[in-house]
Amino acid sequence: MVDVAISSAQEVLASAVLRAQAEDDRELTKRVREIGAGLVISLNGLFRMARTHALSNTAFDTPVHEMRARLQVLLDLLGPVHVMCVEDQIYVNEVRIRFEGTVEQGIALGEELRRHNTGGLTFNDSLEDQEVRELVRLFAAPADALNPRLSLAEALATVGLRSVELHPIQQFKLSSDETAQVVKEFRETYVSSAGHLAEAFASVGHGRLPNPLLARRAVTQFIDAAAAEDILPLALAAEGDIPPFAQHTLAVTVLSLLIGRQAGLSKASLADLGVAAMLHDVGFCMTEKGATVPFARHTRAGLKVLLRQRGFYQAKVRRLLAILEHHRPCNDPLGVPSLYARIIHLADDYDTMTRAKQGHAAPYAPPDAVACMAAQGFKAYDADLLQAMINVLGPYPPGTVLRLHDGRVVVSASTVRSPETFRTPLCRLLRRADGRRPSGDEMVDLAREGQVAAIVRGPVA
Amino acid sequence: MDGGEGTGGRSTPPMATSPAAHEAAEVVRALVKAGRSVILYDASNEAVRDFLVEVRQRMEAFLAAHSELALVIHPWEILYAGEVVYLERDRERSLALRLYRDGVRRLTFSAGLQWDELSRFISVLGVMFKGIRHQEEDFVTLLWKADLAHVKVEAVAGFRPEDEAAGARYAEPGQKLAPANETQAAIFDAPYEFDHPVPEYRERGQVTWRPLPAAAVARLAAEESEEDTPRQCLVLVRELIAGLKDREDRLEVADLLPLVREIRDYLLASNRTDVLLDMAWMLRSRLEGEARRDLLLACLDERALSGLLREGEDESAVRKAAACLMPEHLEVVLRLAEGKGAASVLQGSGLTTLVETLGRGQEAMLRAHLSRASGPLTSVLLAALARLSPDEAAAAAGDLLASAPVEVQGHAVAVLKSMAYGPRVGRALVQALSSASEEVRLQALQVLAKNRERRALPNVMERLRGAAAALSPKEASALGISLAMIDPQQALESFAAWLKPAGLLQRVGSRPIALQLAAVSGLARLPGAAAEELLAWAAEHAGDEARERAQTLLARRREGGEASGG
Repeated sequence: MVDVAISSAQEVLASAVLRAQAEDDRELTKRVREIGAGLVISLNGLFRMARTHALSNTAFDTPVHEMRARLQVLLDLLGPVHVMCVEDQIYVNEVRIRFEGTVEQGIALGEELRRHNTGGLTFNDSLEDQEVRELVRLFAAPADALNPRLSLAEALATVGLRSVELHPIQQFKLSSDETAQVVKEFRETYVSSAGHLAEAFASVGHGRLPNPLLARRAVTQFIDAAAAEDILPLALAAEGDIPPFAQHTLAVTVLSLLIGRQAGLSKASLADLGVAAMLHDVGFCMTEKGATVPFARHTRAGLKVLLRQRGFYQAKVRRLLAILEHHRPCNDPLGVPSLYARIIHLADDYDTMTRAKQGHAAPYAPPDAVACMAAQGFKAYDADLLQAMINVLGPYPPGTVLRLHDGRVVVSASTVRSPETFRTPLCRLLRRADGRRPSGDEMVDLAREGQVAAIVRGPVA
Repeated sequence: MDGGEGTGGRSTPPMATSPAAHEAAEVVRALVKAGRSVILYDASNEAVRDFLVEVRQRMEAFLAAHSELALVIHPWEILYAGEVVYLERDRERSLALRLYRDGVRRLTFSAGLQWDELSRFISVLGVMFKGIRHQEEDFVTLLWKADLAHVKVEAVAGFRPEDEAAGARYAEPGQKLAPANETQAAIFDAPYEFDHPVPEYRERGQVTWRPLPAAAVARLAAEESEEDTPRQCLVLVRELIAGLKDREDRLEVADLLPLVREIRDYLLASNRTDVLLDMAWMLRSRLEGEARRDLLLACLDERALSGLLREGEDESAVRKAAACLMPEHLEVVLRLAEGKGAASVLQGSGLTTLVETLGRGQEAMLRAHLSRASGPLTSVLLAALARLSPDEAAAAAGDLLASAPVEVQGHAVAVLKSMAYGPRVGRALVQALSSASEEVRLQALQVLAKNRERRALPNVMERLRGAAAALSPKEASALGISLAMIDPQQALESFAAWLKPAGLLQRVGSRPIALQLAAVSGLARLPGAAAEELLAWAAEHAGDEARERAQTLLARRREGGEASGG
């Protein structure tokens, strides 16, 4: 008798695998193995030759050319190429490379890297002839005694080889707290995600593909936290602990997720939206000098790098669209922007309007920002998503300073909790009626007590 | 073990000894088998089915007996209640290592687990084992998306590498975050002033709570659904095409090629050839030159064309696809046309026009395909070649007539007939006179005679004299007519000799009827009294069949005056 449940499971499995296969060339693993082996052999050969020949020697011409060609093929197939050495084994983008006969090739490359306390390399871009020679020269040079890998990384950057990343030696160490310490508070997740964001920005700024997985991990934690807590005020409260460039982006991410959730997006879609929001400004291509492109270009700059990600993913398509379109108005003659772009647009504008920049007050108080944006439905913004945002923020979004009729001054500390309490957020006391500050955190629930007399714009004395 | 992979100096946990641990080991083994099965088998295979049955049975039994299966993940082992229930040290095969590397430390299946949840879990395993991941998702995020109520994952951020420059990773409240590595550090203190212009809005709107209308929710749900992804792919490609012309941040074609291929493969896998065609059309209409060529070649590879040009496809879609093809597609088109199934779509004048369009400058390729073509494709190729290079077409046809199967020869002759007559066409048609097929010979004769091709004369005479006994009446007549049209003088002499041979013996002996028929038919075409006189004699004295024919032709001639059709 046919088991319908089993048949259904087979269909689910088939569909998942088909989708995964569409994300990968069927022959990809095989090709990566073949060409990866060739790349490793090239690298070994070059390192070996560098011990006895000057890099300007024409004997290097052919091997350098071969190495470059193989690398280019892998870059075309995979995007960034990760060559990792673990003991005598070599992996290229997680595919184990098998060498015919012996494992000498793996051992040789591993040893060469280990001299510099390095466990692997990532190639983010193709290399010119001279760049390959520089790479070989630096690896062949004696390792720094104190900080071999860092020194090598600096040396690579000095000669312009920022597209080559070095990785530590892989070690799997179980620590006693790993199994216990897995649930983090939202604040910790939020603050540490700024680090991932920094990597993403720096990667694009240096021509390297950012890793969306890091952003995705953070976003899934935001989404889980949002199911249990009011994460927007928590995020605002944590802003002081994260670098300035991350404050805007993370705030936009959180608000985008809340709008998306209010609009009924699925969990999976929220995750993709969140990743798109976290990366929406990577086009500013930050380096040590700050943003390297002006606003007008930031939706396009960086695309070259982002397009290096290989594999078809629905999330990738939507993310790229969001990055390209998130400043377009809803009534743009070019067409209605994509869903994620429309959501991020709302969150982005709201945060820009309400964020104080260096030395200046915020252009809009939060209630004014919401009210002004509210008039832009069907023009700048998708009217339904705009309503979703209004349903989240309410007339007194978190951060709104209010004077109550009894003289107390409070600051809104919650998003909208329910339709009934739309106009009565949970607040934190800033000043008592007599003007004194409270000693600790005192909360005032406007749903139970107090009445709003006025919005306080400007600093509180 | 220290300094390499291992357990950081901890002692190795014991292998499973307790009954519960053994059962847990069986569950894990069944899970791994089911998840890995997709590497070897199609998901619909019986073997996969059996693995799924086994994993369901074992999991159900375990949860019924123990209510929870809590697994602890180590780099190489999976533990249950402190005992090793899974051990695999092959990095590529090891489920434990994949999970551990993705940060999974504990995996718990609890009572109430539905089969639907378990099958989705197995799907995640299958995806993990299959193919190369490109850093978009890992086990943790895939499982999170699957949203399984009775499967709990506890994960950390991933393996913790030794890092000589490790900074504080997490900050306590009030403590600023420090960079965790040199990459982060590069921009932590970089000046930040993204110059977002502040929107300037004067008008204020209503800030009231309103539920989103059901229609709006449905619209948004449609946009986030997978069904909308093909459309979004099109929009993205349109945006990126614009990037090719961006002056400040110009994209190169090489930047787009991989994505176009990926989208192509996705659309084919999703059976959305309509959108694929739209994408091709967009590339065609918005680009020029090399950019258009390279991207269209990427968009329309052989698999894509096979999908677009297959049997049953809408004709307008086929035409649209054809319009998007580049000359470099010729080889693929010809291969598809040679294959089964596609032939009925790729046929007739449409295909001929297509091949002609693509074949310009690639006549050598057409000839190469001609040498192995069969059936209607021969006509197509020859017809296309005839339009591109008549001389080459005639030469190719001549080759085919010399050596190709009879069926192919028929197509060759048909195309030659349609071509403007010239020396090469004539030469090729003369070749056809040696065909084993009477039909081919007759077709050729018709044209040769009409054009009075003298080079055909030897073949005609040889056929009449050498193979007279084997000639059919039809062919004999045709030969006679041809002889009359090509060389009337020689024809008259030959006809006279065939009808009234010199010498008594020849006259009373058997004269091949084919020759008599040829003579009679040919005489009807010759003007002049001599021809009529000979025809009249044949009407009285020729063999039965030839006499009857002569009578008919003579009567017709006398009615119509002078030479008339035979």
